[in-house]
Amino acid sequence: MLPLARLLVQRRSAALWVALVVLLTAVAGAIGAQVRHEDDLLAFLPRDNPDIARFRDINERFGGLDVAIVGVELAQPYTRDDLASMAVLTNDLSTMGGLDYVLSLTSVDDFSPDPMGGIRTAKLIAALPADDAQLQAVRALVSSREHVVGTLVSADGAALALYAFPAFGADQRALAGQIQARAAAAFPGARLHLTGAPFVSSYIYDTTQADMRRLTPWAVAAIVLVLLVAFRDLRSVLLGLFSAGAGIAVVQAVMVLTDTPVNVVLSAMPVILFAVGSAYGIHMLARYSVYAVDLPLEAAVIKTITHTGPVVLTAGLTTALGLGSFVMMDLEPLRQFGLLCALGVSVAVGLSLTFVPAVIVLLRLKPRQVGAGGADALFARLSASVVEHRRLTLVVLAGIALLGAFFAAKVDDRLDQAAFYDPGSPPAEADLFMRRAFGGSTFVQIEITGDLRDPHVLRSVQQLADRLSLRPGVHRVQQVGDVVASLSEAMEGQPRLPDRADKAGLLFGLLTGNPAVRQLVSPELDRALMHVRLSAKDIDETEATLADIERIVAEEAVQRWRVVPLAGDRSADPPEATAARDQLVMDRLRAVLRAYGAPEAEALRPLLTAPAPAPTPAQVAARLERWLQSDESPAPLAAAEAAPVASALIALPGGHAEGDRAEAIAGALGAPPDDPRVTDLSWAAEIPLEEARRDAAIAARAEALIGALTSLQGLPEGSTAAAQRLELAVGAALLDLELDAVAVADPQGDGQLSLAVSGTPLLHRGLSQSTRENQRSSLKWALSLVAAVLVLRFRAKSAGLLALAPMGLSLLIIYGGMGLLHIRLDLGTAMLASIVIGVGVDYAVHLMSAWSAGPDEPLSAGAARAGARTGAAILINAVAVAAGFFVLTLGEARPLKNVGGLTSAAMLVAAGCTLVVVPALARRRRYDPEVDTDDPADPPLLRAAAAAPAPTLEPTP
Amino acid sequence: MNRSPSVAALARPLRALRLGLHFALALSPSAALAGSGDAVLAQVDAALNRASDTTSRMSAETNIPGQAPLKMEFTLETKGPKRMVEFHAPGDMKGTRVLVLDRRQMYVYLPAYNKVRRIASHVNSQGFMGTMFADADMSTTRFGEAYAAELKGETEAGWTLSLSPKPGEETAYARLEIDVSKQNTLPTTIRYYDAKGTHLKTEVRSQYVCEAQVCQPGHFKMTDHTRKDASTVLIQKMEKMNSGLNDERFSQRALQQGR
Repeated sequence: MLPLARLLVQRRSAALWVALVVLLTAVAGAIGAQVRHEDDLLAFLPRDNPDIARFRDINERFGGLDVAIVGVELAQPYTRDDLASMAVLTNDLSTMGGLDYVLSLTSVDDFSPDPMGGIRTAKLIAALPADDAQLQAVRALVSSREHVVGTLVSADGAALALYAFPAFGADQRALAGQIQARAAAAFPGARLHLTGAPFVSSYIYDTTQADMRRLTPWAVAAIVLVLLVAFRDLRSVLLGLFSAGAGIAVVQAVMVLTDTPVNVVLSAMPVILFAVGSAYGIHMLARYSVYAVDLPLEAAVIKTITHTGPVVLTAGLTTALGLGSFVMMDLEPLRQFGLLCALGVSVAVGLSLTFVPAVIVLLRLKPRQVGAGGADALFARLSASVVEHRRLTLVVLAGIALLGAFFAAKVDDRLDQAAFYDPGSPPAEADLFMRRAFGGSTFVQIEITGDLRDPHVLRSVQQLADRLSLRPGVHRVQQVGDVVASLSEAMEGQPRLPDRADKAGLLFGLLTGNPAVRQLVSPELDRALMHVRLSAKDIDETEATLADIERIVAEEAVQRWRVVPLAGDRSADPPEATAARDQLVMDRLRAVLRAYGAPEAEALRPLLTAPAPAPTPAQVAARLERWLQSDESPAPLAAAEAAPVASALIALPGGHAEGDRAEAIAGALGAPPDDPRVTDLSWAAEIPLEEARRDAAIAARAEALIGALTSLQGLPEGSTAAAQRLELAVGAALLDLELDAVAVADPQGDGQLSLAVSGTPLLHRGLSQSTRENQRSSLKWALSLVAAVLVLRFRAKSAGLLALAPMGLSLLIIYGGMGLLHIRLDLGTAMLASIVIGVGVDYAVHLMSAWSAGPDEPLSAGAARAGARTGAAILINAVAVAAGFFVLTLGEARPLKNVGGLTSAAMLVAAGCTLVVVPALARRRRYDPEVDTDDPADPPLLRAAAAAPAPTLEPTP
Repeated sequence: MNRSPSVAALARPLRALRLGLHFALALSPSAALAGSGDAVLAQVDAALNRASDTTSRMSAETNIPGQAPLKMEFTLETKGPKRMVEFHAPGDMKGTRVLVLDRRQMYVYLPAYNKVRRIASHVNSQGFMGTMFADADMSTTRFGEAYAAELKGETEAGWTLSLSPKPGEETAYARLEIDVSKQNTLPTTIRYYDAKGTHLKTEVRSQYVCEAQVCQPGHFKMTDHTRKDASTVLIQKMEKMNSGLNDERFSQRALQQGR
């Protein structure tokens, strides 16, 4: 340090250095002003954690993280105006650009039997209702669509939801803003709830940025105010702030040059650097003023640099290392934060050691009394008192430590959305709304890897979905089989999974390019995604449901099997195959009945083996007649002709030939065999006849089964659309009793699929693990590096540990407080330990460096000197840093509030702990060999004592 | 239409001149059609349907940003408003046939189910089989049936028509703009708009091949501007024209039996 000091006291060198620093700072400031901002919150997801890696992978493949959801809360069931508004919004968003697909009640496709035969495809709401009667009809139609109720409209009709799927590469934040504006315009009177990743990430980013823009000047002002009040010296404060400001300018310039954008974490850096970095320069100026009382300017500057410089350097180094320990985290933004903060602190320290002395020399600054005046004596007495009552103090500290440890062990380190936004904030309100109106807002996803064309894969997936749908905490399960079954209904009349691979392939082919299907199955049909919507209301319920889902996936889902043929004869078919098939049907029936409001029906199983009621010929004929009269028939018949033809056809035995049909049709029509109608119908009627027989049989069986379950409350009854849908669904489930082959679980079997559970609960779990590991890792490195610096600084291990001890107690108190107040550990609070160690250990460095007891003095004299020389400064610095961070708690962004509040408290606790723990544990007369026993800052009594040692001394250790 | 006085003064002689030129240049379609949007559109429809029937092999590739290209191949037979499509690729769709009778009615033959399904639908602008071509785009053979045309502009190379739905007609788009080549009175570019005037899609038809006064584009490109310019390119390879396809070819029997 001495050569540096001698160089800086030369006016020319000082002038050159000051000019250079000012110039470089200006250049850095100009470059740094161009720093760009980034709102990619996904960057905060660690890549190495398996849960998170899977979550990212799945969401990138299926695009689930992109969906923006607009919830509309209405005062009453939707009206014609509400539907009109939704139509306007849907159309508006569809043509806005940047969106791939918009799904709402007014855009969802539907199909229904066409009176002319076949199906009619249209929007579910093909035309907006023009009067109340039409509105009632629309409501009845909508409520009969189980895939729509609970997804696009709430069961009571008083809530609507719109799902917007951004196109690839769209600016999601911009889109979120556009969607929000358009939704507000379309529904001017309604309460809107915006959720989904684009809205939530925009909210977090926007609130953080807004808070930082609004609060940073106030935080800086608070720091300046505290420093001004404390030191009453504007030039000291300005010089200290310049050092910190230069550090910020350099950091931002480096960010521009390395193309590092500002993110939500880095936006807090200026406050941290101002709070921490301004202290070093002030400390140098303060010590210069002390030395200058007895020494000429140059000598005082040299002594400041050589005596105080190492202390400031050590303090700065420990702070830089503490913050720099974030480079050991697995999150790129936090690593950047650590590195850049360390750089900023280093620059501030460097300028405090060089620029501040150079300015003193250049401007010939006169020494000025800085400090807290009478407070020095108070701190001297406090520190001495701690030494004098060491045992009592240690007992109290041990008690506090134990208490802190007890409550620290209770800190909840589980993460959920509460870590990112406050209760009552728009995203939290949207979550509540989605849970209230649509059953839940949290999704577990299960990725299925397997050949989705394979009917056994489809059935295994459906069986898993059926079982999950019955579990407590699960509101609804959506999977690709639902869409395939729906299309199958459109094509062959039964909402069931295809029983052959070629049918499945064809149905998937017809779904090609359907944007809604992209969320459920990959284009290659080798992966699918099941969405399990949880109704859990808090993290405990969510974790319990998640554990249940993981257990079912691991233990109950059929993931490996062999295919066993079935002949349809219970007495002859292999029992394990019959059991597997019955279980498949049972699970389906339970899920269907649950979906229609029935409680779990254990009474179902005997009904499966009961003799199936045969349909009456009239039931079969009615179905066939409809086809014969429809345009789907190549030769539509009049009703009077269709009836005898249907009767003739159903009288034919199974396995008959086309000629038999021709003969029956010709006879019924009284037409010659070569009549075009006869020839057309004879080849075309084969499949419709089969379907009429099958559908009539299964409808009769479904009706019987539902009739046997009349004791179950809640099932729709009568001829309502819902009752018809129930009968159709039950019938489709029963059709699987006629499967000609079934998958039987077999670890050695050829058939297989694999399942992987993911979703936001697992993301949070991964983040929790990552937070724990990051905390552990950064804490370990911060402690190790800081300890190493302290040991080197004080040239003794015990001294290094002594300097760290206050921080240990501080952390126990802070984390104990978190446990006591139920504040969760999250990404922000996980940074706390390293910040506290890095910044707080400065206090111990200063206190111990000022510790000096003469050979004949008691230790309390050393404590008194240390307290007098540094106590006020420590407290002022802690208050300044705390004030700066406290301002952050006045914002809206939850992470900032957590970090701000806890860091603020931690700094005060760290200062208090330092002023008590160090005197209580210190056993040496001095820790810095360069420290003076006599210092102009010492209270007169101590100076006198230093000059003439008192005869009554404690024995020194 | 408001005109400036000088233009109005010239209107009468210009009309007379136009009448004379009409006869003088009767053989030139470009001159004959000048000034009348509906007349141009009628000629476009006539040119579009000049062949009594066609058989083409089509290959389509759809490119949506962020997704793997979607490819399909099919044979397209047309006769008047009727179309028969038979898919050859992708493999899952092979053998699937679609019979389009008009803009609202089609039949699908599903080989795996060995059955024909009639599908009636509203006219809509939804993509057909994941392509950027909507059902309405695929099934419109005569624009004049649903749209009235206004001549919006004219250059040496062609006309630009602005098409609006005729009263009572349900259409997928609120407005079309068609650039028509004077060389063959066929569309070169079609721009699709919604009711707010948003430019939704652009279809470019190019590489026309003419044979016996019948011209067919070899290349179609439909770009959807609302989906980050996702596009579908259709390559048409004409196999037969005016081959006398029987009406039976566009029947349910043919649909199911493939012949």
